[in-house]
Order: sequence, then structure tokens, then C-alpha cells
Amino acid sequence: MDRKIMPDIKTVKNLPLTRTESTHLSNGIPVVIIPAGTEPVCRVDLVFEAGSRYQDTIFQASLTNQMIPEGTASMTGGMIAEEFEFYGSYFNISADRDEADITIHSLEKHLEPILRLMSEVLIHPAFPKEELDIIKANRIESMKVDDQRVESLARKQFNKLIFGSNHPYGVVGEIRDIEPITSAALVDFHSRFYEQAHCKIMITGPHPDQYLPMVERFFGENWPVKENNISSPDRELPEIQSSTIKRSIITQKDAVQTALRIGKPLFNRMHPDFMGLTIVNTILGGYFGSRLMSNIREEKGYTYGIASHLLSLRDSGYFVIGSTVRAEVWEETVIECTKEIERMCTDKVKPGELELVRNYLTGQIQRSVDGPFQLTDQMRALWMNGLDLSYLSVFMELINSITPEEIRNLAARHLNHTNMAVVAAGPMKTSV
Amino acid sequence: MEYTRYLLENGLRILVNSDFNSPMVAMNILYDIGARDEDPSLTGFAHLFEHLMFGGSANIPDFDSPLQLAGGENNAFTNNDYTDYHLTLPFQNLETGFWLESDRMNKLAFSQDSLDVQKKVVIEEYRQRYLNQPYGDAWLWLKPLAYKVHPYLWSTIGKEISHIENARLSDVKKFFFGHYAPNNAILTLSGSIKPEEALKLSEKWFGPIPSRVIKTRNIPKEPVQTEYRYMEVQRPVPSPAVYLAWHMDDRFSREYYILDLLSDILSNGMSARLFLRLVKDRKLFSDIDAYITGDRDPGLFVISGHLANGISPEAGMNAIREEIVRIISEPITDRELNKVKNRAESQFLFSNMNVQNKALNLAYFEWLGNADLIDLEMDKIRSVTVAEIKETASRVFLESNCSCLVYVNNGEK
Repeated sequence: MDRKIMPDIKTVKNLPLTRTESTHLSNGIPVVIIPAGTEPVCRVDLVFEAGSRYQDTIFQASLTNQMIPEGTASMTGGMIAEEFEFYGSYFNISADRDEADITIHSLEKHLEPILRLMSEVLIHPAFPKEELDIIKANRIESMKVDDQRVESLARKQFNKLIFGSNHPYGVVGEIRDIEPITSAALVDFHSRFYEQAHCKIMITGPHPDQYLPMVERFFGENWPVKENNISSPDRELPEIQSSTIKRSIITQKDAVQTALRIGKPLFNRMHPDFMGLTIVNTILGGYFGSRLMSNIREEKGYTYGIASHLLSLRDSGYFVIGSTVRAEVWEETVIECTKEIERMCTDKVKPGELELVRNYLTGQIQRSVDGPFQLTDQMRALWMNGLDLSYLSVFMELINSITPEEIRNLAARHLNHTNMAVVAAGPMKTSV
Repeated sequence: MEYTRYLLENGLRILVNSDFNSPMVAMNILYDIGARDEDPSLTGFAHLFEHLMFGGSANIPDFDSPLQLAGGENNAFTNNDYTDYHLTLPFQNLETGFWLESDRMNKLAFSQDSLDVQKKVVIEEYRQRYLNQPYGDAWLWLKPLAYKVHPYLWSTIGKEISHIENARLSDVKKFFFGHYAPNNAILTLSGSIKPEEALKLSEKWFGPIPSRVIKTRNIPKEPVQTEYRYMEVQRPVPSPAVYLAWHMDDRFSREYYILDLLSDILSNGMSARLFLRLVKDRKLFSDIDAYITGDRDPGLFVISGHLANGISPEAGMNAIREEIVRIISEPITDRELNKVKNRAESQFLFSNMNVQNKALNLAYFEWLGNADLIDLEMDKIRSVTVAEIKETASRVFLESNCSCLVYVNNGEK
């Protein structure tokens, strides 16, 4: 045995795909069923087109989402939570730009009472003013903390620059926007967006045949579409108008590091170049061995971590590099990032590096669908863009066939750094 | 959890959980070396060393690239008690994991360049996590307030940045040969692999590594605290915060399970006592949390929270004390106790749902004494009674056993 010689490796070419099923509840809600797992636990995702892009006032979407489990006509938020927790179940709520959701994790044996309760909570929330006041006050406190963090200052400013601060994707909430929100605004948003036509449901677990009748009972039969229901039409988003400001420096004098964001708006997963650009992004800054990590962390020791991301929204997308670096070297870091982006656009990736990225990415895809709930997360991201798991097989084929020329051309087409926004938030006094 | 156990002649323990539902194999190596084993003048070293384990070994210049080439992903963490390295690979390429992990257990490259860069990286980690966040340095103050002798008094990242700056290559070598050895490690695997196959690969790659003389552990016992300790730090924080810490028994004690459940009753979930009474009813805190540190040696029971706008730290602390009196004067109800037991049971189920968690759980319980303890864990939790909680609370929550850290705003924005 020679310890210098690496054992033979195999490139994994095929993805063993899980069979998913699609159906509808009697009120028209589309359902995807994922039979997965061996433990007696399951998950139900209720996903609504009710993200911040649909709101009339800032925070309307996220506060509606957060207030749903805070009370019904007969139960307080505390009583609702107690009931869930007593059964060893829990729910998560979240709202982002496009969607808002309620996700339930439950033991199979307690799913029925849990779904009954969630159906009541979701369909008949009371939005009590008393609870809203507490949530608003506490949200303000946590935003005060965020407003001291350079990472959060940089993220907010970056968002405004790339999407423009009037675009629904570019709007950034501030503390002053919280106070005016009323219960009435939440009732209104709930009635228009938490309804059947904006809802999708996913069911995951080892015995979906047992769960589906329960889901139908509590979210189908129990929730008929009202005759006079006027579903809110899908809101067309305006054109994205990136700010003309390309470089923004924010001073936070107590900070000991500088947070950086570099990037630009792009497109979503449906764009023909999205898959290929994902590979470009991986090479540049998408994994531990990436060029940005090797350069900025492993060679120079400027940061604990640096990464780039390609993110898909429903009607747009963006590319961003993010890092928090030693305060004195932020400008040098920006220059190095620019050089690495340029190198992607002009030089062909070497065969060794490409082979490594091919194998790493196929491993990542396998990991991303390993375990029942990982599979659900992956499936959900695809389904919301009208795709299914076969997308991953196509992606796997591209990973194994893309050429160095194609990678360079994709980078050159989409990653021109001269029109990227650069945001730095930090102490600034010591910068060169 | 089902597993097969092997012991190599050099002392390496191997535990294998076969799970052919997964196309991957998770490999976990736990070394019985943590921040508590550090020299008080070289704190943060176990964690810095963890970074160096990725800087090349005797025969392999770089750990990450070959792993990524094999479709793998890895990470590591260091805590007070142990250091853990974990990776996952497609099962077809598992041998690459054995090759990589065995070479760095056998001998590191001891590169000065890697040490120089990783010192910088860890210093940025120190800044990013502890110094560049509001309240980020709380544990850097709270630990030395609660501990005076036991090495839990310093944080895993280190007491101060100069300790990291001062690390020398000779320290790295000494540390490696004193702590990194097959007889000081536990190797676990979970995923698409048969036990016999795992044994064959282990013998091939780890078998030839010699066992080493492990530095004897001589950790001082923390004396019983006899008086209330208080410390105030002034920072430009948006609102005051309080941290209260009481000494408790170690990971092997019954008290551990009792207080773990009590911390859930107080703050796990939106129906927990402190959240309902102090955040929602009385509006004194914007958030509040109760938890145990969960260390192997005697640990801490902590209650910490951020005060609501306009509320003083004194008012907040008094309200916490009232809640503590309530635990003793108006006992927990059976339903409250059952609720947190049910929650613990489902969290335990959810935590064993992927190969990486299973490999880590196996290694952790084996390190505690025996992997079979995993299956006894739920029985221990189930057996806790209301009377025990009351008795333990009245013994632990003494003012003389309490350390209190308060953040106050120093008047700056």
C-alpha cells in the first residue's frame, strides 16, 4: 500500500430518483406526495404565493405570516403552541419575497389532531391586536440588533442597489415601517393571499396514503372555495431598474471587520443559462475549494469565509459574492474578487479543476436528495418554478458534459464585473 | 440504533451502522481532545489545530481537493471536550475517505505556511463571531465569571487573540503526537456499507498506524461556588441583556436529564413558561432562553434574555427569580412535563434521520462510554418526575451558586 496514491474513484453519472405523485384536493389545491423515510415521522408543507412582492405596505406579508399561529376565535397563541408541542410536533413559519409557508413536522401517530388544529389556525386566524403589538415591539428590538451588524447593513444596501429600492424585490424594511401595520392590514392580506388559488401542499413521509385523506379532510372538504371569492390576480412585477450607484460605503465605527457584497441581478432557474452558470458559480465561489476561498482565505488569510451564490427568484435572480474581512484589506479583497471574476470570463478552466468540480457537484446533488426532508426541500424549490426532480437529472448530464469553452463563454456573457454593485460596511477609518 | 463494533489492535474503535436507503456513506472521527485539555497559556489551540488538520498530511498535500474529486464534502468542529471530523461520500468512493483520514491520523505535514495562514483565518473567525456582533463576547465574560479553576473558564476560540498569534510549529507537533492517535479516536460509519467491508478498509488504512502515549488528563475540579458573582459590561448595544448561570452536575448524572427537561419547560417552544409569562404577558423581555451547556464535566444552567424597550436589567432579573421560585412553590404539572418529554422524543427521532447525524450520534455516545447508551437515552428522559425537578431546582438555583452578567448600553448609538 502506497499512501501517496489515491484510491480509484468513480464518477457518479445517474441519480436514483424518487417517485413523486401529484394530485389535487377537492377544492383545487395541487398536492405533491413524496413517499420517503423509514421513521414514523412526516412533514406537511403549506406554501402560499404570499411573499413580500404581493404586499401593499412593507412588513404586511411577513407579519401576516408570523401572526397566523397567534390566535383563533377560541384559542390564544400560547394555547395553540401548547397543543402542538404536547404532541411532540412543531411548525415553522416563514415568508420571503415570493412565498410564505407553514411547515409541520409530526409523529405519524399524532398527525390527525395536528392537521385539525392547523386547519383551524390557518383558515380562521384572529390576528389579535394585543399579540400583534408584542410581535411588533420584539421585531423592532431584533432589528435594532441587526442594524448594528455590518453583514446586515451590507445585505440591505446591496438589495436596494441591484433591484432598485422601489421594486418589490428591492424594498428593504426599516424599523419605522413596522409601527403603522395594523391588524386590519393583516386580515386583508390573509383574505386575499392565504386562499386556495394561491396554495400548494407537499406531503412527505413513509406512509403518504394514510396522510392524504387527512389532508383532504382538513384542507380540502373543510375549506371550500367561497362562491363570491375573487382571487387576487397575480401581480406583474415592473422592470428591474438597478441603481446607477455602483459603489456604496457604509461606516459603522464600532465594527472590527468589513462586510462585503458584490454582484448584480440576473435571472431565475427557468433561464436556459441558469444550470450552466451554476457550474461557473461553483468554480468561482460555490464550494470550499473554490477560487475565491483558495485566494482570499487559504492563501491570504483575510477572512474566515467567502462565497458566491446564484439565487433564483420567481421573476428574477441574482449573483452575489459575500464575505466579512479584516477591516484594512477590504479594498484589496474587492480587487481580488474582480480579478477572479475576470479570470472566469477570459481563461478556460483546466481539466483537473473541472473534473473535480464535476464530481463534487454530482456528489452535492446526491446529498441534496438524501434523506426524506432534504428531498422535500429540493423538490419544493423546483416545484415553485414549475419544475420537477427530472431537472436534477438534466443538470447531472450537463455537469458531466459541459466544456471549458462553454464555461468561459457563460461567465463572459453574464458576469461582467464592471456593472456589478459593490457594497462595503465597516469601520472604514483604517482603510487604505 | 443497530451497529457493529470492532476494535483494532492499535486501539482504534470502529462502529458501523448500515443504511442502504442512502447512496452515501458518512464517516465520522471523534478525537478525545478538546479545549479543556489546553495549556492555560495556549488557549484556543485545539480549535486552531482542527484548522491545521486540513493543511496537508505526510503523503497528501491537501485534504479537500481529493475529497471533492471523489464527490465528497466535509467539515469539523471543536468544543470544550472533543474534536470531531466528518465527511460524506458517494458509497462508490468511500475508500478515498479512509485514505485521507488515515493519512492525517498517521502524520500531519506540519507546514509553517499552513500555520501562518490558519492563524490569520482563526483570528478573523474570532472577530467575526465574538467581536463583530452585538452581545457576541458574552461567553468570553460569562465563562471566567462562573469558572475559576476548571478549564471551561475559557472559550473554545481561546481566551484572547494573542494566544492564537503565539502558537508555534513545535507546539503543533507536540499537540499532535500527544492527542491524535488511533487509541484516542472513535471511527463511525453510517450509510451504504456492510460492517465486514468497513472492517477490511479500516484494517488496511488505519491498522498500520501505531498507538501513541496519550498525554494524561489532569483537569482541576471546580470548587463549589459560595457567593453570588456579578459583572457588568458597557457596550453600544441596542438594549440591555442579562445572563444568569448556575453550576450543575456532569453529563453522566441524573441531574443532567432533570435540568435538561426543566430548561425545555422554561423556554423550549412558544408555550414555554418564560416565553409566555415574561415575553408575552409581562412584556419584560423581547426574547428569553434557558438551556444547559451540556458539557461532559459539571456544566452550567443558563437563562439569558434581551430586555424589552425601556425595561431595566434589575426588573428583568427579578422576574426571572420569581419564575424560579414558582418552579419550587407551584410545582410543574404532569401535562407540562409530558409535553417536554414528547418533544424530546420526537426531536430524538428527527435527529436520527440522516447518515451524517447517525454517525455523529454513534461516535458521541461511544465517547460518553458506550454507543448502547443511545437506546437508553429516552428511558432516562421518560423517568424524570415532577418531584425530582422541584428537589433539583431548590438545590441548584441558589443565589450563592449564581453568576450574573449584564450588558448595559454605554450611551453611544
